[in-house]
Amino acid sequence: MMKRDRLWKTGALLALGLVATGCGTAAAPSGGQTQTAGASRAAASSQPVTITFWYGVGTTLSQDIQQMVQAFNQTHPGIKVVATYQGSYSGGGEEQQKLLAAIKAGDPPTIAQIEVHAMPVFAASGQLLDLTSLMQSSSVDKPSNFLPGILVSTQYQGRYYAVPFNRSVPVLYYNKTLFAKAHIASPPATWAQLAADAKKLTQGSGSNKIYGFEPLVDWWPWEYAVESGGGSILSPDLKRATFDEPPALSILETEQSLVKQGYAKVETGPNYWDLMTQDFISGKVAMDIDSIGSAGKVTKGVGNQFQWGTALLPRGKSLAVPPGGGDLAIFKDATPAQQKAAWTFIQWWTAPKQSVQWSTETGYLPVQKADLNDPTYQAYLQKHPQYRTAIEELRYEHPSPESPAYLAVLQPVQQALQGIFDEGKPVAATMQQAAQAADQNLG
Amino acid sequence: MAKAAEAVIAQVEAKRSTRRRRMSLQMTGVAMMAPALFFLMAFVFVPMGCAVYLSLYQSTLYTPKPVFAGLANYAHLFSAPDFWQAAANTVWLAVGMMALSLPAALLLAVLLNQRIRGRAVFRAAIFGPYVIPLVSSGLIFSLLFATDGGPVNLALQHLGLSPVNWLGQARTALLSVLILTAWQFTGYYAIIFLAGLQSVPSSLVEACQVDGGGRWQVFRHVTLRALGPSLFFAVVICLIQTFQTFDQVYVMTGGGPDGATTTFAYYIFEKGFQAFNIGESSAASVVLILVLACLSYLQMRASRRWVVEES
Repeated sequence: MMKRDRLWKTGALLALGLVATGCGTAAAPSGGQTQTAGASRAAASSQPVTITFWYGVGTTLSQDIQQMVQAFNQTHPGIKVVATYQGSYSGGGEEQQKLLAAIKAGDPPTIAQIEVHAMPVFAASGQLLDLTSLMQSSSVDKPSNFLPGILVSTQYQGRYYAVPFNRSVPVLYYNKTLFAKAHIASPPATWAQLAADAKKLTQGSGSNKIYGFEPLVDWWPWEYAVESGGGSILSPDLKRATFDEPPALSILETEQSLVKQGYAKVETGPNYWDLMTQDFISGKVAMDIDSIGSAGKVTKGVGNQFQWGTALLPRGKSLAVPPGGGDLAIFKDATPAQQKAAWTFIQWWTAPKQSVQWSTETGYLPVQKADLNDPTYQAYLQKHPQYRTAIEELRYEHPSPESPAYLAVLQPVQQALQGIFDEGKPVAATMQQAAQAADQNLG
Repeated sequence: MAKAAEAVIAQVEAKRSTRRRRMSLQMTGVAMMAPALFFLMAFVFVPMGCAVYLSLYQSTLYTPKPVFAGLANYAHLFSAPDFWQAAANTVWLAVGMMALSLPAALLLAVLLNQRIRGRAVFRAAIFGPYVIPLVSSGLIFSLLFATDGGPVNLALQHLGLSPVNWLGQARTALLSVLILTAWQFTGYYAIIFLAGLQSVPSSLVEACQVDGGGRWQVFRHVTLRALGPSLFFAVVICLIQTFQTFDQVYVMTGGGPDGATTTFAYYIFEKGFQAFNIGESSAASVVLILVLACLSYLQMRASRRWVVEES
């Protein structure tokens, strides 16, 4: 008995050990390779300026970045950019947490990708380099060179602190085949039309039911809903939440009533976003509001099953499109030489040649006016007309509130949206409660 | 005279040398503890002090000049419905663990204390879940509880029941987290009970049997009594572990939907690192430290009493 007992334990320990070392060896090469590659290059040229670049987009996007950074390093012998994936850059993601720790420790990277809604909190910290004069004197990144609307997220209190990097907007996706079957000629331009269309498009029952619409239970399209409905998120002095006032609730009310009447489907739980995109791909919903960044996935997923397209988000009282994605900022802590190198890198990245490459590889928006005249990009638009909508929407881009406490506002909002759509709670009362919670953080 | 003086000197010398010996012994002790103390200071006590300090300021941690806020963060905390919701969720989880996990652990321990074939295998197996990182088991359970095509729902459908959106609705999300937590920790508590069971004096068991006690009576009057200290230890550890519940929530639900699975520890994370409200997050940490300190104190007091009683 005793012997067998010990055998077991040894076996278990061995197995654990194998698992542990397995993980270790799997993780090691990537770090090791970059280090040796870096070392040999440093030895080859005489002391290039090394700058660090933290970003927060993974998998194939990360590979795209690494390839472009490599191309930059090869063409710029005086500069060595070390780009590192640091976990998600999105609200509260790991990259943001690591930046927080790095800033506190006095050792931030030279360049970081910053989510557009987190820009005020970083700009207010006084840690970011003011890029205003650099941009104005740049031949590449002059503010007037950028597509109108795309710079809204890069400013804080009238100064520029970042340059657009991986930008996106929410758009309306619609299933053209289902629209044709329901004899609807064009996608809805207003919420009244959307509601009417959703009713016509809904058909079947049980697991074969097709819903007319699916709202995304997320604060990003919520920003659009508040502002397009004629409301505002915060008061002009940024001290008070105003998103519980009636105009701010009108679009949410319409969406919720569609859900309650059975014309709209809602996905909940931790994978809500992915699930919604999947619902559209599998033809379970005829319309949804999704990021233009999902277009690649939808193209691949739908294949030839049905025809689909994108349209401008439907209007409420007006159309206000929130910025999305991330921008690039430089940290003040860097030496003047590093700051100069960082600025060279950012200008290189945003110059039409590279920004078109980045855009066509990833589906993020082009950032410069010149990008649209680029033959490569025009050919891309011919092949992927869905992106036209997103570029057109940029004209309606509306800045999110410039409050350093804005992330603390979005958190109760997200919770409230889950209450409204997942639990069917009343819109006005739920948003009032969220506004009270937000007020405590604004003070 | 001289002899007396010598004796006195010898005595003094002896005293001095014992004192020296004691001193050097103490120094050795301190030196041996120093590395541990250093790390405890650096990673526990200093951050704890920082948390108390930060809880008195309003800041995002990025704010160049934080504003002194006194106890305002605590006032905000205690008036925030979502804080109380997080506290209630945590208590709910704790109660669930006591009702589900501890009795199951006791049952397993009693079963595994019998002479059964393959006992060692079973003992190792029930401890298995505790060895798996919570993040991994959280991911596994997310897949098990998936709405479309998750094995749990497939099983329900086989039984003719409609599938449940386990992690996506407030009613079942916390229950799902509880089920995972119970699965993860029951083996650990079972081992504690098993150790306790092995120290049940066989003389008492025999005495009870001689007096005509059946199995149930032996269990009630002898085994359970002797298990007292283990039971108490398990209850307190279970409470502390539930109050620290974080990983499984982070992986499975992100605290949602609508805050339904936000636990105390997750609330602290969410406020601090997602909303950047470090002041309120630190205030919540201080409250959690106090709660845990009270629980630990209770456990220490009680275990001292148990030990004395036993000897």
